[in-house]
Amino acid sequence: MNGPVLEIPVNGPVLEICDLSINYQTDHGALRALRNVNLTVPKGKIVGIVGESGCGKSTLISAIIRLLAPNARIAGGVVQFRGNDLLKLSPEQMRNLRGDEISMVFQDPMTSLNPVLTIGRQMADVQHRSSSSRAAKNTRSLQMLERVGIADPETQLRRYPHHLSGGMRQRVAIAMALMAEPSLLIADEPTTALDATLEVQIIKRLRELQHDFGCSILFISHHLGVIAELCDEVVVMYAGEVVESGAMREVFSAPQHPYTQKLLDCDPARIAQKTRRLPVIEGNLPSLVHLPEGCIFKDRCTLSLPRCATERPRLLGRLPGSGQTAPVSVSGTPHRSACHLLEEPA
Amino acid sequence: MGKFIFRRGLTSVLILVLSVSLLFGMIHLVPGDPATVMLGPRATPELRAELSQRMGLDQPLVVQLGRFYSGLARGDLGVDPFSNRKVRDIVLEQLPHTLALVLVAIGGASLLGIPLGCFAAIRRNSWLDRLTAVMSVAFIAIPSFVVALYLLLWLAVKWRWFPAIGAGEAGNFTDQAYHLVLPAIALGLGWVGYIARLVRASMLEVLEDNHIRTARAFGLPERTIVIHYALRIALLPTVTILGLGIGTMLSSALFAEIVFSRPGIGKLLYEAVLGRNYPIVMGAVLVTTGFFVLSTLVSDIINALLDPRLREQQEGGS
Amino acid sequence: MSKAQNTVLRIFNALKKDPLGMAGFILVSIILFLTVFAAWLAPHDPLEIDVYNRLASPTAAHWLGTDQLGRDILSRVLFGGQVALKVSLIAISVSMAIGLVLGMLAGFGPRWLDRILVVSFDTVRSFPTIMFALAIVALTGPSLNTVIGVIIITSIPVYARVVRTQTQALRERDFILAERAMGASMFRILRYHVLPNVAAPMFILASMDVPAVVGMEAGLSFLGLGVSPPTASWGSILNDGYSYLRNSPWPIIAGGIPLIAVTLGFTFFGEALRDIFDPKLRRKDP
Repeated sequence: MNGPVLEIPVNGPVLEICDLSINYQTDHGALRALRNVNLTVPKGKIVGIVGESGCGKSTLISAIIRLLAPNARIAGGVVQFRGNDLLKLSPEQMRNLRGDEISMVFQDPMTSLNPVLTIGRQMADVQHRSSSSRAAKNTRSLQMLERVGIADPETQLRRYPHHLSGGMRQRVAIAMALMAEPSLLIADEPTTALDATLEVQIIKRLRELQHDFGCSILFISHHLGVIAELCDEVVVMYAGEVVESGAMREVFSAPQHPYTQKLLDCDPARIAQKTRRLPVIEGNLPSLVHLPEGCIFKDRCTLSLPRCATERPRLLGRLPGSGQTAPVSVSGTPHRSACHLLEEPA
Repeated sequence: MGKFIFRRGLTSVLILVLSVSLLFGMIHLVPGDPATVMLGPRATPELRAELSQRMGLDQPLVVQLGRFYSGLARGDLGVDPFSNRKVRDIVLEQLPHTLALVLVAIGGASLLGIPLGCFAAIRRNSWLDRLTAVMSVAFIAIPSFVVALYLLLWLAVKWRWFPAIGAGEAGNFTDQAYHLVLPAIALGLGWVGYIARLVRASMLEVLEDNHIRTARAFGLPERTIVIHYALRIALLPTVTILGLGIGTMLSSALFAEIVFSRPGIGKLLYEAVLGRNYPIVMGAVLVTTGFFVLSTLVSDIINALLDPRLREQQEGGS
Repeated sequence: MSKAQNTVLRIFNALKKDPLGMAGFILVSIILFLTVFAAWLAPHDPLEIDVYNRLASPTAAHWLGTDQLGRDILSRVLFGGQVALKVSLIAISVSMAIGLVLGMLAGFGPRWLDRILVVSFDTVRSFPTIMFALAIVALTGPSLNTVIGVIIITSIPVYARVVRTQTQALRERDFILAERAMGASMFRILRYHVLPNVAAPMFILASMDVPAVVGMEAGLSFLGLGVSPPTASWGSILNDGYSYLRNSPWPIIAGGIPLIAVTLGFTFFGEALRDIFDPKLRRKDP
C-alpha cells in the first residue's frame, strides 16, 4: 500500500468536523451551503445525519471525501480524520484514502455503477491497491458478495449492472465499499431509492456488517424510521447548519430544537390519529445567498423570541429551561442544540 | 441481437434498392436515349441500334430493371460497352485504392481526434481545449478539394516533399504509403476536429455521470477512470459517426483522387460521367452507395455490441 | 417590429462577448459586401481576355495576377462570389420551404405518410451527395441549374427532419389538438405554432449549410460540371488553375481563399447563433 502514513490514534473519534463552512460561487453571489458545521463520528458507531433536501447533507459528505463541485470553496474549518486534516492532504494523499480508509455508498443504485463494465470487473478495479492476483481478487469479490447476501455470486460477477435489481445493485455497492475494510463508511441515502421491504433488509445487513467489520458509519437519510433503526447518534441539519445533535434515543425522545420537534411530528410513522392531511412544516428554506440575520429557522418557527431575529444561537449542550450547561449523559455523547429557547425559563 | 441486425439490415437493403432503382429509372427516363448520348450525335443509326440491343435498351424499363437486379444477385454488374470488360472487374480493380485512402484518412483522423477530444474534456477551458474548439469548427467545412489543391501546390509542387500524382509503384508498399499521405490528409483533416469535438462533448457528459463519481470515491487512478470507465462510454456515439465518416469519405475521396490523379472509384466514376459510360456510372454509384449504407449499418451494430444496455434492449424486441 | 429589433440586439450583444462569432460575423459581412457590389468593385471585366498577359503574377494592374487567358483573377473571384451567393440563396430558401412543408406533413399527417416521407428522406441521405450530383450531371449535362436542383434535393431532408421533430412534439399538445378540433387550417398552425418554434433552428441550420452549399457548387464547378465557361465561379477558377498549376500558383491561391473565408465565416457565425438560441448546447462549450 502506498498511502500516506497516517498517525492512527487508538481511541477517540474516527471523524471530527469542526466549524466547517463551504460556499458555492454562483452568478448571484456566494451561496453559503454549510456554515460552522460541527460533527463527530466516534469509533465503531453509526451516526445519522437527518434533514430535508437542501440542508447541506450532500455538500457535507462531498467535502469529507473532497469530491466537491468545481464551484465550491472551503471557507473554513477542519475535517479531522484519524488525526489528519483531510482538507490539508494533497490530492494524491486524499485519493489514496478513498475506497481504502473511507468508502462511500451512493444514493441511486441505478446510476452509481458503470453500465458498460461487468460487476466482476468493477469489483476487481476497486481492489486496485492490492497486489494480489486476478484470481485472488475474484475470490475476494465472491466472498464480499456472499457477505452482503447475494445468492449465486459467481454468476453475478459476470453480469452487468442493468441485469441486477436496485436492491442487488445496492448490495454490490456496499460490498465494494467494504472491500478494503474501511474505518469510515459514508452512506448517502443508500435505501431511499428502494422499496420498504428491501430497505429493512439492507439496513439489517448494514448493521450486521458494521458489527463484523467494526467500522464507523456516517449514514445520511431523511427517513427518521431508518435513522432510528440503525443509528447510535444523530445530527439534525437545517439550511446548512447543525441545529441539534446527540445520542439517537435522547434526540428522538426529547428533541430540544423546534425544527427537530416538527420533523418528528411530521414523520408519518409517528402520527397516531387518523388524519386527512399529512402535517408539514409551513414555510420555505431561507435564501442561502442572502442569509437572514439571527436564527436560521426563525421564519418557520412558531415559538420564536425577539432575540431570535438578531442573534444567531450557538450549538451548545444545555439543560432545557435553565440555560445551564448539561452534564454529559450516560451515553457519553452530549446532547446539543442551537436554540435560544433553551436559555429561557420555562 | 439477431433480430435487431435483421431489422436494421432489411431497412438498409430497402434504401439501397430504392436509390438504385431511382437512379436506374432516371437514366432511362431522361430525354434522349442513352445509346445516342453515349455514342454522340455523329453515330450512325445502325451503330446506335446495335449498342441499344447490346445493352438491352430496346426492352421495356421493367424488364431492364429486372435484368439489372437478377444480374446483381449473381454479382454481375453488366458489361462496359466501350472496353467490353465486365463492370464488376473494373470497379473491383479500383476499389482497393479508394478503400486504402479512406481507411488511412479516418484512421489518422481518429488517432489524432480521440486523444485531442479526451484532453480537451479533461483540461476544460485550457488553451488546448480552446484550440480544439476552434479547429473542430474551422476545419470541418473547408472543402476537401481546396485542402487537396493547397497541399498539392505547396508540399508536392513547390517544396517537393511528397509525390504529386498517382498511387505509387504497384507492389512497393513504401512508395504506395508515401503517395497516400497527401490525399489522406486532404480527406481526413476536417475529421480530426470533428471527432475531437464529438469525443469532448460526450466525454464531458459521461464524466458527470454518477458512476464516475463512484469510481472517484473509490480512489481509482484518474487514468483508469478516463480510459476504462469514461472513454468507453464516450466513444459510443463517435463509433456511429466514424461509420458514417467512412461512407461519406468513400464518395468525397473523389476530389482527392482527381486532384492527385490517383486511381480509385471516384476517379473511375468521374471519367465515366465525362464519357457518358452509364454501365460504369451505375456500377460505381452502386458500390459507393452500397458501402455507405453498409457502413452505417455496421456502425449501428458495433454501437449495439459495445453498449450492453442497447444490446439487450434490442434483444428484448420492441 | 420591436420583437425583431430585440432579437437583433440580442445577437449583437452576444457577439460582443464571443470573439469567434464576431469574427465570423465580420467575415460574412465582408464577403456579402464584396459579392453584392462586385460589379462596382471589380477592377476589370472578368471575361476580358488579354493574351499578352497570361498567367501573370500579381501586379499593380492585376492584384491577384491573371489566368491562362490573361483574365484578371481578382475580378473573377469577385464575380465568382455572385454565383456562390445566387446558388446558396436559391438552393437554401427553396429547400427550406419544401422541407418546412414536408416536415409538417410528416409530423401532422397520417402514420403511413410519415413512414413514406421518412424512408424517402433516408434514401436521399443514403445517397452520397456528390455521387448523386455526378450521376445527375451525367444524365443532364453540366449546368448551374442542375447543381442547384441537386443541392435542393439533398438539403430538403435536413430541414424537413427538424420541422418533423418539432411538429411531432407539438401535435400531442392540448392547444394544438383543440385548434385542430376547431378546424384550424394547416396554414394557421404552421404560421402561429410551427414557424415560431422552428425559425431559430432553421436559421442556424441555414447559416451552417451555406459552406456546404457553396462547397458543393465550387466542387462541381471544379470538376467542370457546374457553371459553363467562361462564367467565373470559385470552383471554375480552381479548375483553370489546376491545369496550369506548375506555371502559376495564383489562380489556386486566389480561388481557395474565398472558399475558406466563407466556410469559416458562416460556420463561426452559425455556431454563435446556435449558442444564442440554443443555450442547452452552450453550457458545455468554453
